[in-house]
Amino acid sequence: MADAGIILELERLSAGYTEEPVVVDFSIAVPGESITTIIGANGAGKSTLLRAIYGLNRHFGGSVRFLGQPIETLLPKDRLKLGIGFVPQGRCNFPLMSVRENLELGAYTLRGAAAADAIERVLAQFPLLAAKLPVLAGNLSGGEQQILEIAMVLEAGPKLLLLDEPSLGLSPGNQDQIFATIAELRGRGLTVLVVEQNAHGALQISDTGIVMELGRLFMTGPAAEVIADPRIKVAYLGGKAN
Amino acid sequence: MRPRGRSVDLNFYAQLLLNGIVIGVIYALIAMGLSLIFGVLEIVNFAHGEFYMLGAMCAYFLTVNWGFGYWPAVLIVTAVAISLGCVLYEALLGSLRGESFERSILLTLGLSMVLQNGAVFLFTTTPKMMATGLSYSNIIVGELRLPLSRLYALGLGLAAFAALYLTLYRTRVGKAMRGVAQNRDAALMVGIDPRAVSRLAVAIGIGLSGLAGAALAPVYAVHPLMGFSFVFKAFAIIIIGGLGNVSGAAIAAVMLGILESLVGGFLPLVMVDALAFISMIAVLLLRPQGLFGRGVRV
Repeated sequence: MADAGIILELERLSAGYTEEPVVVDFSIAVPGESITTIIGANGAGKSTLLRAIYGLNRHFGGSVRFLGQPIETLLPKDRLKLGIGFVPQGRCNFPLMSVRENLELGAYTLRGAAAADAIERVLAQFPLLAAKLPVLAGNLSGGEQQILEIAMVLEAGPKLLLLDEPSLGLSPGNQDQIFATIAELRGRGLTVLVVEQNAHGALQISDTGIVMELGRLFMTGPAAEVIADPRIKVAYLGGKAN
Repeated sequence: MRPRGRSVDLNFYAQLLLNGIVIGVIYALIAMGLSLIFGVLEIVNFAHGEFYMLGAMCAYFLTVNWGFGYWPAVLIVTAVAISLGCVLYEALLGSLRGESFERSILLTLGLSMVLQNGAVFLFTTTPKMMATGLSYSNIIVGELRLPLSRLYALGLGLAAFAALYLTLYRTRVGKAMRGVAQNRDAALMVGIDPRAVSRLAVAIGIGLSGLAGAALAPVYAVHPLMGFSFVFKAFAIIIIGGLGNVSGAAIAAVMLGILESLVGGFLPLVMVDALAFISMIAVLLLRPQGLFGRGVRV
């Protein structure tokens, strides 16, 4: 991990959907050019946290600072323009449009030559998409769709990429491909904050691990330490209690 | 009475076919707008037909009372309808989405009643005929008489369909509209503002409805209740074409217009009006996804 300073800082963030916050008083600092994996049980608030950072749910309190700038009041499109990309959980593309049209919409915040350049850039980065340009996105395999979605978000040139369960529903081979892609993105200078059920696979490529329980921060530390923690081994990594 | 003789019969059928295509294209304008709004906002707009009625009413007053020509009236009505669409979105529909489906039905049904009864109060239910220079102009082709007003309505409908198609498939904002209709989360992911896109979809949908009213005003009698029956027929059309499928709605509308006109040459009018709903029931039983596929194929 390069020492690129803090890119994202959450301070006592509370967020949710209806009357009660799902994420409560959550504080973390994410260093630049790193991979941070958030793990936790179903319903712990992991996805809610990512959606809160991108501005998709109700903000109850606390602050979200990106590169030192408070962004709690910004719309998602403005957060994207500022440099935060978000790939939601599940299939998140335009299934009845071709891969080319999906990539064109990926460059929606860009204009003219910048949009064309962004498409060329991600096609060079993900050559498998170049061969599938006329194919409907909904007809791609799960792994290909996940790559397409990451490519669409990368077109806007984010500095921070939020990934919600990128390996969900993928075969083991495709999961490895996705984790390799995420590691490669860090190599290109991106910061990645990823929520994963496949805790082992994600923590192995991560610099930092965060554990959430019932909407609150339970534990944070270097990924190697989180993997080695006996409580985490038992709860999330399939290990046995001593 | 139905004409006799082979050549006369052919002319008779050709006339029915032309009438069917004209009314089908106008059905298509209304149904496409309804389908577009459903596809993008997941809202069934029961007030849609009232904007068709208001379009026809405005065109009537602009031409008959204020002396505007047909084309300026069509332009003004379409522009006003587009503006009304923006107002409708900001004032009422903007706060609704798929999860408020029942609320959207009650709200738009209520708006429909307000507009309809307001029009009855202001204009009475007496049908009005928009008599302009166009009304009695025909183009004669062989033994066929083609009323200019119907041809203009046909031309306007086809031009509007082409413009909508090009907007949806060739422009950035049109693709964004299709994107929001297909996956709202993905639209947010790539930085599309769903509110702006939804507002535009409602403006276009209501604009098409107003245009349809203005285009047909010289062809049919104008009265405050004309929109209500039209909107139910439009619902039948979008179910036949496939919910949310704009192109499917357009094709189904033209097919229904032709079918109605041809059958109307032989059966009473009340039977003709049932055709749309008989077709809808048949489609729901045999192909529930619609003839051209259900879903967000805006």
